[in-house]
Amino acid sequence: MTTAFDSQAFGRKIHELLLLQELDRAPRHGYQVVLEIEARSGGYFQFSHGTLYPILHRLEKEGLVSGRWSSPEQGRPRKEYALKEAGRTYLAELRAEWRELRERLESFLDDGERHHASVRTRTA
Amino acid sequence: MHRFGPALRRVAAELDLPRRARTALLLELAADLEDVYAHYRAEGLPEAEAAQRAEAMVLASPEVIRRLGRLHVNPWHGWAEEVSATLRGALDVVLLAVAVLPVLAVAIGVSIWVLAEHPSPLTGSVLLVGAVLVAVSAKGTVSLLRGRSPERAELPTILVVAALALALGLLAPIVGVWNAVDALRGGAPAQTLFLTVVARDGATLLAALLLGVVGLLVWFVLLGVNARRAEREVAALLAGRPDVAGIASMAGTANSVLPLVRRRHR
Repeated sequence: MTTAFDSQAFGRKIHELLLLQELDRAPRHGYQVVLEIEARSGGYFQFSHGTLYPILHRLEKEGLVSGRWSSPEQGRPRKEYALKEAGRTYLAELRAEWRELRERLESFLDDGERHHASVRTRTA
Repeated sequence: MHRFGPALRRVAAELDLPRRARTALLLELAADLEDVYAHYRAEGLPEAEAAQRAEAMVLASPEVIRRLGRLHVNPWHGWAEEVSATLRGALDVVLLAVAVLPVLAVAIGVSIWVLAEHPSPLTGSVLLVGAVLVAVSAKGTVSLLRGRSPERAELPTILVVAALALALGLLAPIVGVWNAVDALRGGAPAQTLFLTVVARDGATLLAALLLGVVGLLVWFVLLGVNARRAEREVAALLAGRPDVAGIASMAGTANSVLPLVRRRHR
């Protein structure tokens, strides 16, 4: 059975996908995650005005990532986030959802282009 | 003054969260601000621009602050922290330790002495809960004195043990009456049974309830001290200097906490 596309959750899920994907590579401090995402996407994906925190804290509250305070010998304590097993499962679901969305969208756009092409051929 | 002190203060003023959550978030923001600032400086940006870009990236907008508030809202914890924060400084803690806890300890001792004379089926459980409570409370206090937060491990355990003590206390008279009814059916004299129930189960009830109250008091004090310690961390961070008097006055804390602060900045 097909699950309908949830446009309201679209933005949230992209943010979650980006953060979880990055944490899947290695545990990181909050803004290391954002800087890595920015660098890896050539500046295309950006988190500004603290938008990272509500997402990370919610993922932590839902048990998908763990936040641990580290106390280094020098410097101030920092909070490091790591992906938990439940987060890994959720990441796999998000990846599958994203692939389905991409395929359906591409198929939809291809149909539209084919239609325009046929109309152009008829009018010519 | 910390480089991002004024900006962090603006965010702090808008964060309507329980103290510990608020402090943890501010510490996280401060560390991330420094990370991002260092990153942009390493990329060759001048100080002012690096600081401006770090603030734009890290500091939350009012809408994001509201979302964080909704996410971390915990009315019970917030209320408990506020009430426990009224135990300001050494005087309140000493008064509590000198006046209330010894009275409770004597009452518990008397109850246990009565229980030793007339053991109840729940005596062992009550003593065990008492021992666990003492051990966990001591561990929480040591954690706090060593600068670690007892919030995740010891504080919830103390609450659970205190609740267990209260439950045992309420169970004692029920078990006592049940046993007495059985004994009455077996032909035991009613007057003796009545006295036994009153003395033995009354003492069990009292000891367990008092243990529960002591547990809640210890939880309350540790929570308050921990919340104030967290506030001092933020104050020290914003001050950006290991000035003990300055840190204490900024956080509005009393002299009782100064040894802790001194140890942290030695």
